[in-house]
Amino acid sequence: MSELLDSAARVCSVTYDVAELTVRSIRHLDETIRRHTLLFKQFYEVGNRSLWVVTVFGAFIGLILVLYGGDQLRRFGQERYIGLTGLAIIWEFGPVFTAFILAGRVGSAYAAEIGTMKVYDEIDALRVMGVSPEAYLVTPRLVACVVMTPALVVIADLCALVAGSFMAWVFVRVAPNQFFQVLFQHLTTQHMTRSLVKSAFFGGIIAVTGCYHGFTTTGGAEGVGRSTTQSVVHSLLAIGVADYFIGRLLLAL
Amino acid sequence: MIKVSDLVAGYGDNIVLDGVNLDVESHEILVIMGQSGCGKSTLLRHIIGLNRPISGTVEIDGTDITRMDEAGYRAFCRSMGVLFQTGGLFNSMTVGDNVAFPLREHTRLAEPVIEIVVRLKLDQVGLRGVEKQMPSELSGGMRKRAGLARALALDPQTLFLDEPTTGLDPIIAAGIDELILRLHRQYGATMVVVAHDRASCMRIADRIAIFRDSALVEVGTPDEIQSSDNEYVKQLLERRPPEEDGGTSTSSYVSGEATA
Ligand SMILES: Nc1ncnc2c1ncn2[C@@H]1O[C@H](COP(=O)(O)OP(=O)(O)OP(=O)(O)O)[C@@H](O)[C@H]1O
Ligand SMILES: [Mg+2]
Repeated sequence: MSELLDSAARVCSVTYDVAELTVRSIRHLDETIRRHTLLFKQFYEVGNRSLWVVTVFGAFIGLILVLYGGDQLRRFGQERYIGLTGLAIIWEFGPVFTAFILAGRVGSAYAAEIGTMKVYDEIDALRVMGVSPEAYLVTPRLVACVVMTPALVVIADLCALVAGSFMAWVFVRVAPNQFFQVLFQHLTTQHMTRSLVKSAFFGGIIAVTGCYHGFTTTGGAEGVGRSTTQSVVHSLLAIGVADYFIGRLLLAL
Repeated sequence: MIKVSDLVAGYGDNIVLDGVNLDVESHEILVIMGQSGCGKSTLLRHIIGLNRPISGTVEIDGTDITRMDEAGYRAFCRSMGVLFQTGGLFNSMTVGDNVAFPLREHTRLAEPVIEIVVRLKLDQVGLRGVEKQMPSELSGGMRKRAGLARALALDPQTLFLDEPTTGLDPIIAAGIDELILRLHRQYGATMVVVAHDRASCMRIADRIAIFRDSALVEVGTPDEIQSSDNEYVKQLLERRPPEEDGGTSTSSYVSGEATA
């Protein structure tokens, strides 16, 4: 029981620290605009690191969803509604799976980069040269993830929809134009906005969690490995939890 | 002027410095000596405001460093240069960009001017033609000298050098000693230098502070230190191994291992 309380207390304190780091980095937004080359480099890194994985993964998600969805709908003879699987993609599968991929590729890289800098005194060197490590390292990464995650989600969604419509055609004989017609009958701009807002939040979570674990790295190369894994695990958990609460919040609005 | 009062410092429960009082006068070179692991680097980290003391204070020109606001600390950072024991170079940047970093952050010099200053500073520490190389392509001693060049980039009024000559060959080390003295003569810079080499300490120091375990044992001019009758100070200066004292201390372990 006391162990449970301990872990709960730890989760709370880490969450608090991460939130504090977020606030501190947002305060340095003006400095990031001044150092825009750093920002553009981060944009490029986020996009470049994950574009192909997101594309391929998105396509397979589309295929699988339509496969299972089509199978179920066929039992009731309602194949013409197969386009509705597109809603699931836009609401949930696109944002969450893209965020998972980014947590693994981008968040972990942030933890490793910053962790290595920490271990080699580079963070301290930044500080004694009068540069805030948050401003120099976290803010550009945060901004890059918040902007690029929704962009990648859009790409993942498109791939999933195209692959899904193709699958629908092959598997349940629903032509792509019918697929998209049903989808667009039910899809509203509000849904799309929600999905993008959610993705931006996920991006923020991934960036700050990765950076936080980088900053808290101790103990040489081994420590870097540890904080890299931890950053992925914590990002995934945080994305899961945040998905639920953001979902509730956005539905209530 | 730097004033360290009753400084107690450590990592978690491990107390590394216990009640250190030390003043560094303006324009002097203070050399810190002491055995490995006695807390020299830790003291430097507290003086430059990277670590917070458990108790006690560090004052820079009368301001408590832990109470400095962000602008004040930034100004302090601009006026000082720090060489970390590990060099502290940014591994993701070329050596040239490393040295240019403080210039780009704190000055509005044009890029060609920065290039010239970078070449000049690298030249001062005896490095030529390494601007385009990455720190990982340099030898340990070259990395340290590149770190020194970066610390000198803004012509700081205060320099904190953690073992600037350790790991360098005698010729380069003597060159660095000369450089330290020259900077001192030319700019009147205040310097706190951690060093192990006796000859170089005696040469550059205005005063020497000797640490043992977690405390300051003696401070004085090189002459005073050399004529000190403190057993530990003599041992340290004369490079004598620790004496046997019944096999209970770590010293017997060290000498025991050496004879085995
Ligand atoms: N980051 C850290 N976390 C925990 N303990 C540390 C840390 N850094 C140093 N220590 C401990 O503090 C003590 C003093 O370390 P410090 O680096 O100040 O020694 P030093 O006098 O600079 O030694 P050296 O001459 O070998 O550089 C050591 O016993 C070390 O174990
Ligand atoms: Mg040291």
